[in-house]
Amino acid sequence: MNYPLWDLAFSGSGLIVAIIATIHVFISHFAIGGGIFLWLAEWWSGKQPEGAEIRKWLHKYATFFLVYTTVFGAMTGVGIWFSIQLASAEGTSLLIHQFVFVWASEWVLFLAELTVLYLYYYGWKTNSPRMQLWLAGLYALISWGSLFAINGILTFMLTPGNWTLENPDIAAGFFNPGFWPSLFIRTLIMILLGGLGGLVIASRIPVEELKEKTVRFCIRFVIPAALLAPFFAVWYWSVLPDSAAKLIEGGAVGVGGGRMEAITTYFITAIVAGAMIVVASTVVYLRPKALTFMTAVAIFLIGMTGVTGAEFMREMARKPYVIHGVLYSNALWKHKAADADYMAKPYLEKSRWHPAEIPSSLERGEWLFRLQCISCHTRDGYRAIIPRTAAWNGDFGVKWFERMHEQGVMPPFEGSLDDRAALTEYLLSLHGKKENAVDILKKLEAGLEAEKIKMILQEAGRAPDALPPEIPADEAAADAAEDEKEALK
Amino acid sequence: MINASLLNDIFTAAAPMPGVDPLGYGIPPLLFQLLSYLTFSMHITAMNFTVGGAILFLWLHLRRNDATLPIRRYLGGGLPLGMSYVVTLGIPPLLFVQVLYGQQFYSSSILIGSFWILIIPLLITAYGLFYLHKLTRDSRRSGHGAIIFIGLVAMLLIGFFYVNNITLSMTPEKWLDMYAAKPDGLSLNLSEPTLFPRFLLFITPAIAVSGLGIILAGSFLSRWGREAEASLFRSFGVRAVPVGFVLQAVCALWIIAVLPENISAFVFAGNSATVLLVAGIILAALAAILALIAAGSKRVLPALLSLIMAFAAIFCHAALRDMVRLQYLAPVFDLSQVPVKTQWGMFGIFVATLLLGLALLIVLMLRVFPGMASAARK
Repeated sequence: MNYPLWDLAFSGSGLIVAIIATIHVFISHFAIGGGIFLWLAEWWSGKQPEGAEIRKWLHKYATFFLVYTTVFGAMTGVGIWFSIQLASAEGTSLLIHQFVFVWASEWVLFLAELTVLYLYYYGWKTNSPRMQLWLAGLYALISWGSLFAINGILTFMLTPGNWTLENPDIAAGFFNPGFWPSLFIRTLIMILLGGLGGLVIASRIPVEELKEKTVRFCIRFVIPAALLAPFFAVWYWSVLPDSAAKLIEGGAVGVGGGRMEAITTYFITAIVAGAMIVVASTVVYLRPKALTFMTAVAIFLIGMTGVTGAEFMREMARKPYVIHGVLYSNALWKHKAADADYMAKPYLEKSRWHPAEIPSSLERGEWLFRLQCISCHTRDGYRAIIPRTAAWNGDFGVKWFERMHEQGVMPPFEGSLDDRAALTEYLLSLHGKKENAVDILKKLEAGLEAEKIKMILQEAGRAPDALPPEIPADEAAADAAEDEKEALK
Repeated sequence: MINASLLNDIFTAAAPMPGVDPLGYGIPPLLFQLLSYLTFSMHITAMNFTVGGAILFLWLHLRRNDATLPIRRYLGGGLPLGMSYVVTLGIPPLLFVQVLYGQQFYSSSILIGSFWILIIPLLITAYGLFYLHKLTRDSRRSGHGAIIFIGLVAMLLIGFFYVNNITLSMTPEKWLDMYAAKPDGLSLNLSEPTLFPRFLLFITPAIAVSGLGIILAGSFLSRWGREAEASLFRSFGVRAVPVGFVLQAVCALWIIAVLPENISAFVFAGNSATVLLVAGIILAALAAILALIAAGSKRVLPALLSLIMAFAAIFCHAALRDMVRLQYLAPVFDLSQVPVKTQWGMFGIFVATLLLGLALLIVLMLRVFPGMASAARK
């Protein structure tokens, strides 16, 4: 509640982050794996009799690599930074302040990796083969170093381990439980993508024998990485917080009436993509001449789909937190959420970003929605709230807000009973239903009164098991009161 | 350890200025400020080369004089390289502004969020177009003026959004009304009187600085024995330098005229801000004089010195800009409000990484450049 929330229609800030991050994750993994690939290909080409021809292919790879990774990879990397500021300023501020010198060191690595890449690429004709091999090797090493740095911050968000807000131990946060498994699995995926990128360029080599040799060289990166990745995935799984593992497992066996949850879809996507790559690569290894450009692009895109699935799963597993166990996605701090008195205070009294005068409960509900909900939901776009509340009535809304966090994917509601009613009023208004917050509370009160009376009567052994559902709550309360009067006579 | 009462203060402070980040500053703020001035100056210098390069490219392109083709090839070929350093050198000042002024910067970023996020597609557009020009200029003759023009417009828009954001971050009194009116981030800070002169104050010296770059390139061409091209470069570069500096001076006068009274009084109060202002003017003048000398010389040194002076002038500008920011924010914020929770060990790792990285790059350049230079020699 420190910062305003970006109330963006249709996509919300979340989808913007997801789109940019998906593109970036894929290209950045390729940028590092492709660097390792370039280095080994440089070394390999020096050992082949047709080395000069292979280097022509390698130059095409390097041109594609340079433009693709710097224009799209580096810019979307900056894009993630821009988008997370807008989606979660509070969380970004924490990551920036805590890890400022990790970010700064990461920048040094970017600067070095970029410059080394330019020295390699623009020195293609003038550098000695030995220098080219050195530069490619340094590029691979430095870019992997940049993975090392960002991996600490990225895994921190899901598995902060022994780091706490009260005792912010940087080393514990950086080398958190997810650090090593994630580093290994990402390295493997990078090597795999580097090989797939090589296939795309190799597919266009006109000399058949050379194509065969080069394609097989590329596949040697792909299959071992694809086969090893699941083992590291199991390791990574073992360090996930219980709630995150349950979220994925629960979806996998069909929580929610057997329907497949989004998170499970992503999980399966990653597995299927990995399996497809292994099969496709094996076929290509056996029949390298049959590889066409479009087939290579298709395998490359399957790789992207798999990585996207895995990344989405990781992002969703963090729900409802932006930093697991520390900060909820909607900028509510966990330690504040544990304070019942604080939580029950009227929300707008604590929040900064709303007009001083808010005349109606409907408008108050809108501000509550804006400040508490839109970091994850839009009204009618991405993760839309309208279909999610289609069956609501006032009574249900107020009760839902009291307990929504118990599912494990939503933060607790922050605010008073009046706030809950005002937000319900606003959400109902999105469906064209006009139910005033005051009326909602009256009905609720009557309903609660009826419940209370029913309990008294049940204890006295005089009441029916359940109230007929078609009786409106206030009528039911009146009837129950009559019953009670009768009983007392 | 974080003090619990501090956390309470943070979360219940008055609207709308966000509370300070509980993790505070990792080193004393003065060090962050110095790092920020240094890296911001590097970023602005790279931006000047690139934006100025694109402007001068278009100028020459429109005049369609075949004699200037080598300069166009030099400028056009350098744009993707320049762009990548604009972005890479822009990372640390963006990091440090978030550390030092996160409360203001995040708030204003969100208020203009829908424009702020456009910076990313604009960056990709400009960068992609500059590469498109470079990779296709030999195979395809037409359309390159339009390609560079669109790239330049994209870069200027990015700069414009930046100036909107930074000026808005300094004027928190506007925030709440702005947010209440447009919570969708579709606001810009157009009511800010200093907006346009401030934007132009950053853009106009680009013409001068890229002129200096062209003179420096000319001096290298002389060294490589390509005298005809060298004199072409020097004579064109030296004409661009005064244009840029004179336009910048006009913008400086414009911004002084529209600054709030208390801020202009602060700048001219004879304090360190005044010293920075005067030093900046002297350094820019020295850069211009050295450019004149370099234009008549075949040596690299005067051109290099001229660029160093320009860089120093930009540094003064960066420091003055920060002082002005603090003056704007003085009623609601000063750096001492934020606790310093030192991370000296981490700072040491950063400094070591930086020194190692720079040393490595210098060694590699010393080994790679002679080969490139001998290939460029006539």
